[in-house]
Amino acid sequence: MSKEDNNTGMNILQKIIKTIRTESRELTDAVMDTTGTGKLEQAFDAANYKLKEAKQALTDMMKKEQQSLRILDIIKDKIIQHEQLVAEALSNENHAQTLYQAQIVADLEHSLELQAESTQSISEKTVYLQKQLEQSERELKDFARQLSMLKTTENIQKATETIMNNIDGADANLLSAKKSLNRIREKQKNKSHQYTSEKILLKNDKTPKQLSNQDTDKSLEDIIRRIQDKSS
Amino acid sequence: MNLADFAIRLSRFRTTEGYTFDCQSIDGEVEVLQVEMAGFDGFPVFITKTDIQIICIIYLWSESEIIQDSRVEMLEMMLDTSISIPLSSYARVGDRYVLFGALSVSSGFNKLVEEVVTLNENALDVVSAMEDFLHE
Repeated sequence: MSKEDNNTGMNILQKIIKTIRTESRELTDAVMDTTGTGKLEQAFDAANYKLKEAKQALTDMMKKEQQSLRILDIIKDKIIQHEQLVAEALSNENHAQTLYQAQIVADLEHSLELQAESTQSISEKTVYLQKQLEQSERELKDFARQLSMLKTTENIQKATETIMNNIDGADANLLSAKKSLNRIREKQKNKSHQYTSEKILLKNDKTPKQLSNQDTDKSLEDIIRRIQDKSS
Repeated sequence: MNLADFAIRLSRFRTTEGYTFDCQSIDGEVEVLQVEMAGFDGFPVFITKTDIQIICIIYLWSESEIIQDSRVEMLEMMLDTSISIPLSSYARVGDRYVLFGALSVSSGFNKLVEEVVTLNENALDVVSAMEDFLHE
């Protein structure tokens, strides 16, 4: 990733801010380069490709590392075997055989040394590639985040245009908070009035019945008392 | 979640508080879904989607509705209160101030419903709190 590409990525929010301030609707064009190709998207694709390459290279290198470690183990085993043969030859006082096996051990130790160096080098390369891979992953995630910022800004601008084009006339009040709030309050006031009226109605409904019953009871008592008074 | 599928599911859904939802898809360059909460006197919520997020928006007011002398005070109040508002933030799109909530595209149905309800409740509080900064 070149320094220029990185800067392009790092400045995406500033570019969005600049574009919004100049009231440009064509955000993508403004943020992308003049050739009409998406610089950021190109950088994203490049980072993606780099990541894929790095993964393949790492897989190859890990395979080599494993092979090299296996060879190292084989040499170590052979050294142990030939050291045993040296010991046997020594115990048999077979001087020629001792020298012969010792020479093999010396050659194997030399091979081991070379193989160890090779393995070490491969391991270092593996670690390096792994770091490269992590770096690429980071770059890729960062590009994805920047692209997302760009696309979201563009999407919201377009969505707002769509909504404004679709909602006009009386419906436009829906998009004015104060008008909506007044509408909501009016509605709630009506509801409250309705509720109060219902309550009064219920209350009124109940009161005459009770009064009427009381009145009836009272008048019945009066009648009985009147008749009792008459007959007494 | 696909917005069309969400609309179908939401249209049949009833929250435990008894809210139901009227959904309407708006044709245009990008996919937009308009959701209104039946049983709650609030605002229409507009939902749109990008590759990684679902954004729910309520349009609050436009620049022309703000009383110019108290504009700075209003902006400061918006900044001061933004963090306290659950799941929602302020933004401005063009000359329109909005309250919005953003969710990951992997969010489930219930999270999206929660966002729509909370956003509407928040918007009502916000507009009531800010109405002195706005023209009649």
